[in-house]
Amino acid sequence: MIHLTGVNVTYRSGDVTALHHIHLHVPPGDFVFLVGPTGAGKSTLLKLLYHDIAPTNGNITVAGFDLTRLRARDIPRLRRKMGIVLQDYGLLPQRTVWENIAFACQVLGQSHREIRRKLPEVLELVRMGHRCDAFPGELSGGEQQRVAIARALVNQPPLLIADEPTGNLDPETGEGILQVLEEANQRGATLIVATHDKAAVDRMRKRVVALRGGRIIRDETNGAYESSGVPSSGVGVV
Amino acid sequence: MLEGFLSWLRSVGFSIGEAFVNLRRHRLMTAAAITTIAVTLILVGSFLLTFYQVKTATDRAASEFEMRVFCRDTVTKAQVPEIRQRIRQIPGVATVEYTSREQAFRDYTHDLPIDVRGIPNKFSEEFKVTFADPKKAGAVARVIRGWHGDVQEVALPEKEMSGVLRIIAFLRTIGFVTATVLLFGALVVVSNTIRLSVFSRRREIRIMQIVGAAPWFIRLPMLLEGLIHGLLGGLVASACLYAVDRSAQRLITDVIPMLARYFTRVDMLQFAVAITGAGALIGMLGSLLSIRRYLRAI
Repeated sequence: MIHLTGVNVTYRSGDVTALHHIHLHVPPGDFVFLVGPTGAGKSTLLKLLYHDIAPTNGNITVAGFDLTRLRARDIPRLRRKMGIVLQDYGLLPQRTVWENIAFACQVLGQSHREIRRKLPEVLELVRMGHRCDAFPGELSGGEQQRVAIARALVNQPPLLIADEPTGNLDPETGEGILQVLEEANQRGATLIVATHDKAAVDRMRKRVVALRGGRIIRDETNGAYESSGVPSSGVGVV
Repeated sequence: MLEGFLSWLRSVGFSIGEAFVNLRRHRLMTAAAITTIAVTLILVGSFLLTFYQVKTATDRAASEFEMRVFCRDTVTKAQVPEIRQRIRQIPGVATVEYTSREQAFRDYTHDLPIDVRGIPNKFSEEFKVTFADPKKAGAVARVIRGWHGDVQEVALPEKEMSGVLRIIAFLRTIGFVTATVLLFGALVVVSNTIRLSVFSRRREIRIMQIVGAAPWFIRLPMLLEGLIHGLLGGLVASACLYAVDRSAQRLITDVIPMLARYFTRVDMLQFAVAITGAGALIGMLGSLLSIRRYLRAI
């Protein structure tokens, strides 16, 4: 699903290197937690995956797209293969919950009938069916996050990318969100989740990729938030 | 294949619908954009109207200059039609009017309170020439002056004419420069307003990009909005200019009737169509240019 080989990212401002020599391979159906302190390069790595930024050098393949050779007009085709949950939810404030989610379908030219069929299902999945006429401003952080996830899931993309999906939420709400993500994973989606949620990472025992200073310092299959001391499965260890 | 076309059609439909929803949603921006475009077009339009009036008035003044051609005494009545024909054929000549020496004498002595019988007629056969192109007056005069055998004298108010022609040239330069500056200013102001409106929606653009919307899908509603802003701004401007033109006409014909004959009636319908079209073009171009910045940023 995802292949990164020797990827470097240097920000235009000059010598600030955001990512150093990243090697990462994520097979389909994997659930990966991306952990590390603020500024470690988690968001940069995610942005690389949905081609919000391009690598300075190295090779990236995502969902069959060679991102080093991706033409600008193919970016929308890449993005349709993935659901993206942004740190700030990215909901349109002047549209209702229903309209926000439907938007992702309308963009792809889906019919009203199709939308009416798909939305209740995904709203049910994130347990937001009762609030579909509310505007984002009327929702709590957790509810907005669930709407953002619903929008990312509605077209059943094979890849789901989430940046701090439990960031500003209380533990209980956060757990609900992670449960939704887990369900998506069980349906076959590949998940890349950047998080600071130590408890969740420790409890769920998924693959953990730890970043520090723009390098991968740890990659464990059944990992914890902090290093267990056990040698990792291998790639990118400094 | 058919499904692909249908989904494309639905996207287009949705996109057009979005444009109208957005006009309502971003009411304040819509109002700002329409006002800006309208004000700018009123400025440009009233300048064009004024300039057009001044220009046609001066043109007319220039074309009203007459040249008088006095024939030698040797010229007989039989030669008159031929000379008249020759003058008429000189490029730049509009009309040639013939006055016989008898008529000239009668015109001159008509109001004199004396008995003119017995006074010899010293007048000569005469032509009054007007010009289609006042700039050629000098050349026409030179040609006729060359007919030594037939022509005694050519009277042309050359000094006055060249003065008026200089004024026309001056006006043309001023008009061209002012119109260019105004249009450029208009474009800057309008594209700034539109950029502001697009800027206020960069979040929306970003979210569209995140969910995989094609660039045309993002662009189309905003283009349409720009078009509608421009059309409405153009209509408002047209209405204002129409009102101004009407009252200016009335004012001039009522207050200074002698100026009325220099006042040209402009086809306001045609003018309104042009102004509205210019608005639509500015609106569309402005939004196209502003969106590009945000689309490229990805």
